[in-house]
Amino acid sequence: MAESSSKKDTTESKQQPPLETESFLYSPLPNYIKKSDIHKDNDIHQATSSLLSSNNKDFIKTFVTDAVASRAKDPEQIYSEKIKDKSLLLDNPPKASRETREKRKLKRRAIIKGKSMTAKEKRQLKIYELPKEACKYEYFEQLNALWMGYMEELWGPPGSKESTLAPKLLKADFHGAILTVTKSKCPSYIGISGICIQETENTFKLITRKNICKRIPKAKSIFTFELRGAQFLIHGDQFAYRASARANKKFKGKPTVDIK
Amino acid sequence: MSKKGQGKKIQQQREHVENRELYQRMNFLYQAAALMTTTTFVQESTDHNTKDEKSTAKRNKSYQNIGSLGRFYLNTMRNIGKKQVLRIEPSVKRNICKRCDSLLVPGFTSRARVKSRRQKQLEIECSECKAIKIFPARKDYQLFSEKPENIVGASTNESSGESQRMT
Repeated sequence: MAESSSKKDTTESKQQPPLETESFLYSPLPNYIKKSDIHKDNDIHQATSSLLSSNNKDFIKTFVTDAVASRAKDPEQIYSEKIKDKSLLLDNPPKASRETREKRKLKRRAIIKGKSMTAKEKRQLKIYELPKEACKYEYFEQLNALWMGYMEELWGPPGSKESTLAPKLLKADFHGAILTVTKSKCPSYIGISGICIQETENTFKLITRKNICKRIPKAKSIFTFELRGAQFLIHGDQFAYRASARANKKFKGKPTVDIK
Repeated sequence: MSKKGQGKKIQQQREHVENRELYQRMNFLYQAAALMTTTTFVQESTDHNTKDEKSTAKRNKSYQNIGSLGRFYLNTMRNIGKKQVLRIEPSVKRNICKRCDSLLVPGFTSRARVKSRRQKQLEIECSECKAIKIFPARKDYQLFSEKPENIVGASTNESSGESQRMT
């Protein structure tokens, strides 16, 4: 506390020509008080000034170390860490203005009421991001089993043709499927296989058996997966929609284009 | 003959459901989300903020769930429902946080409290985003869709069949 005021003192003395030669612990009194009689009779001010004038920084140090000594092991260290060369506030921090307070209130109310998050908030809170520790194949094996069950249900009883499933697959979900990249413009993607855990507009996020999380763009690559011994191809180029947008998308037959 | 005819009828009824695949998909997504939010992994984190020797030596082990993926799945589920205007069964909808789409499992990802205000109500707070859902907790409370006067021909109702599938 005291330290900051002494600093203030020095800065003020630079701006105004110092009225008194000695530097004080407290900033100089305003002029209208100095002129008044009260100041002249006040010897407390003079007493403190004489006491501190020699070396006010030393005073602060001894004062703080004495005050802390009873409770701390190393008061000197505390002084050097917390007070030395630091500016401290003498007052409590100013209250936020009414506008900002009301804004905060509204914000809190929106949270409680369950107003949907903005994209910015989602990004800041990392709401859809998978932590690194969770990128393990074993955690998602069950998801794959669930997906297989879902596919069985979608396909219908065993023996039904593949042609019945194919149009349904366009609107199906691929979270949990084991996808393999068979063709790609980027050669390093070829051969990667893993459980799909997240499908975005332009990428598949796969977790491989070696517990590595890979994000593979749909564009310019072909994915395959197997069901009941049959192999299905996904042409990534024509599949580049959001997982939810695909539900009501009308797909048109397009000639397949060879990659390369 | 009669058996066959019955089978056909049942099949026809089953085929009658519109957007069947989408309901299946939403169902799958809901189940997947439930699976993800209930699987836990160990997260070890060290505090880098405090410089004390003690805290750096101590490693915080915490069990976390893969809720982020669950949130993603439920978000896609809700978006599908929004786009195709498919109704989600209230009991399912009540388990999803309105704000962050996470699955609300009492005591695990949410906090449920019964409060007596003007009337008794159930408050469910999402532990992820602190959003609160409030439901009346009267004894004789019925949802709109549960009220007998709102159900047309109770057994043949399409929506009830769908709702069963959803849960």
